[in-house]
Amino acid sequence: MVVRGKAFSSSTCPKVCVVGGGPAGFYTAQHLIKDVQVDVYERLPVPFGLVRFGVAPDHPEVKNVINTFTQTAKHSRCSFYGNVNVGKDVSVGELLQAYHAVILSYGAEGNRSMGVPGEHLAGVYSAKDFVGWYNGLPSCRELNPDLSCDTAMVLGQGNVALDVARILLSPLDFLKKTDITQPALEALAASRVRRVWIVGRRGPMQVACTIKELREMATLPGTRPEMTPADFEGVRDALKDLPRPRKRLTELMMKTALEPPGEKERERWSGASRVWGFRFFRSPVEVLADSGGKKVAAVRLAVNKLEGSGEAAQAVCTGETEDVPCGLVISSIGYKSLPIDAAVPFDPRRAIVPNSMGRVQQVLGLYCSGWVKTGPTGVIATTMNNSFDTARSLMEDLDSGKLDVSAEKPGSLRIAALLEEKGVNPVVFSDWEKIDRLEVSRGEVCGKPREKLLSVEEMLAVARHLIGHFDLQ
Amino acid sequence: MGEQCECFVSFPTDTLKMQTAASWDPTIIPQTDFYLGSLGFSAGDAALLLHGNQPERFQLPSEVCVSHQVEGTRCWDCRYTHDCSQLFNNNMKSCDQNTAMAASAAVRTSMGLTLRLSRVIPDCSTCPLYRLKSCVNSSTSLQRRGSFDSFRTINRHLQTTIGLCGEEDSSTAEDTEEVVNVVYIDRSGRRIPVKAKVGDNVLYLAHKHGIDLEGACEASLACSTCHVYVSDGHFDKLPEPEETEDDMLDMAPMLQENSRLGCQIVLTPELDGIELTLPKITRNFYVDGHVPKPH
Repeated sequence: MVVRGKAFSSSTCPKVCVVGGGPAGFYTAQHLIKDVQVDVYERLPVPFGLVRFGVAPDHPEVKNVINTFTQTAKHSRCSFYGNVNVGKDVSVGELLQAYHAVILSYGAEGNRSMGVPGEHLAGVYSAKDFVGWYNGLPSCRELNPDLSCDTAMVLGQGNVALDVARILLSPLDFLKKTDITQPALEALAASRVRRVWIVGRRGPMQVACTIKELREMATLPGTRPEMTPADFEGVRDALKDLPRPRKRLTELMMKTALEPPGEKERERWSGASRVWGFRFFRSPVEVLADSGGKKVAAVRLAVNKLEGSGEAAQAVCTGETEDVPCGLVISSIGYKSLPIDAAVPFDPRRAIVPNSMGRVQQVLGLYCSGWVKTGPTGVIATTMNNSFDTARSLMEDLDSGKLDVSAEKPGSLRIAALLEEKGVNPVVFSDWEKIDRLEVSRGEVCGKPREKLLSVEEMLAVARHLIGHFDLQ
Repeated sequence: MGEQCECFVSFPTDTLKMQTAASWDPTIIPQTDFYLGSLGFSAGDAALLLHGNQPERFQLPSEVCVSHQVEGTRCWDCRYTHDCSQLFNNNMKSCDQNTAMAASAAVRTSMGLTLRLSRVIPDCSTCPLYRLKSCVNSSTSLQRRGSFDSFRTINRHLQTTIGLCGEEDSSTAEDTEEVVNVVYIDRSGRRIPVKAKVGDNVLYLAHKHGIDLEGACEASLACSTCHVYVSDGHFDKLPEPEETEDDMLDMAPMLQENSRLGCQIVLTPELDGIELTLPKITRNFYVDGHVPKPH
């Protein structure tokens, strides 16, 4: 390629690296490989981040984007290096020296805590961990959630909360054909959870979930909805002024909560052994333990009222509380990014890397994309736009000379040497493909799209061809 | 003598010549807006292409790619890979420029050698066209397009040929009836006219023509990345969206009254002249005060 009249041969092509092999990382890479060499570093041996570990098992079409990312990874100007922990195996400073630019796309691996007493009792989990558990995230393998209680409470009313509720209540026949992990499937088969409350601080018009997920709950076989009509006071009148997405969502919620069931629904509900419902205007103030003092038995909820309206409405405590018995609490109030390296500026209040249009201000050559740039909200389309935006900023800087690419940089050669010194062996994309093929073939045996490998050790062993190849005849 | 000029000029079909930056003959004046690939380009050569009235400079990268891509089209399958033996799309035959391309393609498939070109920022100061003030692709017009666009590489895969002859192929009556004229307006506002067929899917058509319309979920109504705005006269001619499409549209940023998902639009004769605008990618991302988006 030629920049400002100078010709580049492939050895002097600008070299950039992306930290994080999830949607943000790959979408950013996609827009850069047209002009630069992009190396994607990922901590786990396997790529794709939340597409693999966050998207619910019963939403396989959402995972089709993996095909786009695979094309990117296999592009001649893109290289994937899994099993590399940036911040530990190699520092961001070392990356900045080896590459012309570094883009942080490592997402949000932490979660917001409720900040209430009893939060650490047995039986209380973050949605991030619960979802990680049923999706095969290696660090959540040992979660072993206790599903022997009859009532579960999910705190938060976003799509993740609805995913959790849906997985807890889905008929086993549905789940058996998905890529949910085998241990999770077995645990859910033995589950005694029959009631799930999805609790939010504010009202029906402030829920953060989307209509597709609500529809799925409303039509989930073997279940029926149960809500408090009084929570919907005033909602019908406010409908006409709402923007379309909020309006359609609220209409569906009202229909589900208030309308007497039609023929089809009545049939479904009469046989329903499982119940779910939104509980509005409630905030957790304490998780109460059972007589043994170690496990959750109930949650004390403060009753709120709303001040203001629409998206900006605030929940204000009324002073009243109520205690709701439950044996399983899943807190789904938001993911949170964590700082990766002391050299990288981090805003602990907003939990993001401070930036302007993806450029990290204080550090030349450092950029960010995805949730670590904007905070942990948004669907894949949002992350796509966000990542393209950062790529555009970087290309503008290349174009204007703000980012100086005249000097050659060693790129992955230097990093490979550093990693070798530490005894770290990166997993390249073709290694992931071995893992992929094995997972798919193991899944075929039990009618699932794949049977995920559950530990980093097993993934590495397959990548190195030490095990697993015999399964593929 | 070969002046080191960086404009790649087009030639009439009967005077196809190999021109590299090193052997550019400034006395050759472009006669037609005919797109040319020429034989013998080596990896790393700089070359100029005149397409329409726009000279564009190309620098051949150092690797060789086997593909069939031609001016204005981009094979979705080999956008990122090198192995595509798919044949040139017949849909292009009715366009003048593409007539020649179709001819080239026929020859190309037997040649077996293709080159991938990267478009670069033209340096027009040495170009005779520029000096003659005939060049419309001057740096000022480029700047107007925005640096992002000018810097974007368009992956083109040309098979090299010798002695192309123009194929004066006139469309058959059948073909004309089947043709649906579509205009895509990309995110930078550029209009890209496309001759499509009845039955074509708007998302895949965009991919075929190198338009940056993502289809993350591959047309399974599980995302909103193929969101487009439909021109006024045609929006009402589309069948009502399914509930699932409406559900996904609800999640698209900058939803408008005339929003639809591209993967759900199938071309019919009455959609002739339809214009599909890609929503601009906003540059406003912030956490404080940000309305929580679902995920």
